[in-house]
Amino acid sequence: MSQDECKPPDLNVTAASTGDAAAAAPRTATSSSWPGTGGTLTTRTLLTYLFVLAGATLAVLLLCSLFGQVSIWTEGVWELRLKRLANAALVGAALSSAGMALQGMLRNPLAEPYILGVSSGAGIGVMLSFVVAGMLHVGNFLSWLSMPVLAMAGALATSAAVYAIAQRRGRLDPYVLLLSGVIVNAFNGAIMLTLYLILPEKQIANFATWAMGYISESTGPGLFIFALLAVLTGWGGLLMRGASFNMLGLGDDVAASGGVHVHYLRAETFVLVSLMTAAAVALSGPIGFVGLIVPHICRSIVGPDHRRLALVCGFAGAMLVMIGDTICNTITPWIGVGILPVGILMALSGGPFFIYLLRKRRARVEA
Amino acid sequence: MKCIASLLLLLACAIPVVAQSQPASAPAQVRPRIVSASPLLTDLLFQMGLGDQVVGVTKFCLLPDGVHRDVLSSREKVDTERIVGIRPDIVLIQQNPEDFKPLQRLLPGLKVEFFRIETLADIDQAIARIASLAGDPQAGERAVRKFHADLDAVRQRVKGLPTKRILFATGVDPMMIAGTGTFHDGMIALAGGVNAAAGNYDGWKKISAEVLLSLQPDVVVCQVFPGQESQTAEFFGKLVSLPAVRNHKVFLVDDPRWTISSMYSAKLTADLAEMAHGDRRGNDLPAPTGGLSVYWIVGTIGAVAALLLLGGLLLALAGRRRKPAAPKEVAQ
Repeated sequence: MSQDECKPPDLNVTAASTGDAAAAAPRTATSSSWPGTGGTLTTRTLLTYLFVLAGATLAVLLLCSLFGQVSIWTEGVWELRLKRLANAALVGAALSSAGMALQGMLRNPLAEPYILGVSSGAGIGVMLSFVVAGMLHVGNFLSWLSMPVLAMAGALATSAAVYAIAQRRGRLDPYVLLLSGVIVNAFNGAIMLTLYLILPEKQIANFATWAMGYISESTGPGLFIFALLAVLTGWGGLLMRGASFNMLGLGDDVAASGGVHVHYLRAETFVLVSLMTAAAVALSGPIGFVGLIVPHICRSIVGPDHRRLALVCGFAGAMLVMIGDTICNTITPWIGVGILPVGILMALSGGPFFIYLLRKRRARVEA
Repeated sequence: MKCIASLLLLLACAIPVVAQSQPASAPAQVRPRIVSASPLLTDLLFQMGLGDQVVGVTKFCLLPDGVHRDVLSSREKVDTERIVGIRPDIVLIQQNPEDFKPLQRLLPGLKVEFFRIETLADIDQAIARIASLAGDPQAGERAVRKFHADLDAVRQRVKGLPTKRILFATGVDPMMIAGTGTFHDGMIALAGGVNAAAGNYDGWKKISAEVLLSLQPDVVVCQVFPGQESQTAEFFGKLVSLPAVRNHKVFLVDDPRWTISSMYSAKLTADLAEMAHGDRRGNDLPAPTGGLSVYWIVGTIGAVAALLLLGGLLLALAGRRRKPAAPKEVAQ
């Protein structure tokens, strides 16, 4: 009996565990299918998804741009608001796609960049860039360049650490993985606090706002373009691996016998997830639970097929964070604060959602 | 002989009286040793001429040139152990007094005096109280008189001038602004202006750039840390619809006393009046051309190109998939 067969079923998230194995698992390759899967999903269907979701995202963006603390018709406001919403869309797409990929790859419904410590790893990189910028008085160019690069390095290092701790002889234990994430998160938190102590005073305010998950409207073009390319690359990469995630849902051995290089897939996914998470964290700070909520909602709507999920999650995440940020931006005067970072709203809604998922899984096991 | 003895007796009686009256003024010379746990209170002490009594300050306190005192705090908190080592008579604080209870248990005679200073009016009371605690009430009276005279001079200078909408802020992205109830509110009123943030915001509030646009200030004074001028100038340079930007009335200041309410605030109020009503021109801001448009052009083209690329890739791969003849069975 393989180790996969011994795994507790309560932590399996993919088609196999949800009873939709037939829907997600590849059967035969047909001429109209999505490459590499052999499933029944046609390219036309995917293209339809792509254009409908892109249209919906654009509509949400335009709708959200109408709401805020001041009238959209105030001179200059429209442009600023669209910039912030564009940043929010990128952050949402990155985090939700990354969450979807981690859940699919690790067959764990609770996996997401924030919980596994990838976000905090990227956060260390961003804090290091604050320290470097403050100490060396570097200009804007170096500042925007160093931030995503260091964030990427931090996210990759954390991913590697979590993977190394959780894997045993090439196999990942879901429980150990979650615990590894918790431990690495705590460790990263300690590093961040240490960095805070040596942070130049002028950077403290920047750090405080960033740490709350605030989406800025004055992000420099350099950072925006860097993040845009990182997110599109990561998202595109994950889209191409949807079929492999489906096969992986049936177990490592089945996936391997179906031609999936499991180890390579995991390494690639960790790199792509790190790239996207680093871009999101550099843009907005650590926003938690987007990668947890969105894939679950999308899975309940479009099913467990990762070829579809990868596409849908990206757009849905973009819409969710845009809506969340608009709510935060609109309600701030009513609650007596100047700004309300969207990270706070996401944590407030994501925490209970996480508990709900845990209890639901436990109830299922007990039943 | 009796007379001489009586005289000696009288003299002997008189000596203690004189001796008692002489040193009566001596204890008044021993002034209390003061630790200031707030930059604002340190500033007041030195401006009142009571700096000699200060034996300890915080990391953030600004001392006159050439003056050095023991620094008794890190960036995060006051180091009570080091205060015990210095053994002062009074500690002046703006922090939570409860934090200093253990210190008072260790040094039973120690006075810990809390000050709440948020408006210009609070400064008067603080000056009088500090002078009294320091044992020199006259210094307090002198300081209050000078402070009011300086403020009156500003008031006279701006009398009859048109009112300007003035905003005081610190940092960017997000920006923190001084609303109603701050001492900046009072400074702005004295400088012949109206606080652009008043009415909507009480105290200090963080705001987004779009809210800044809606406030439409004629004059913006933004405090920045040294080295952050270019980033801040770039930020304001993009807000071309802001009256302050159009009128070249965005002033980036790096003097930390702009956020410390003290007697120096009178001098800064005069500066503010000059900024608002004088010919003084604000900081040079980068030309607004390019910034936003390049951002949007490149961003939009990038996004559209990526979508097209993605669509094209899907189509190309789908086309390639049509060619293989033999479908491949995959294990269920």
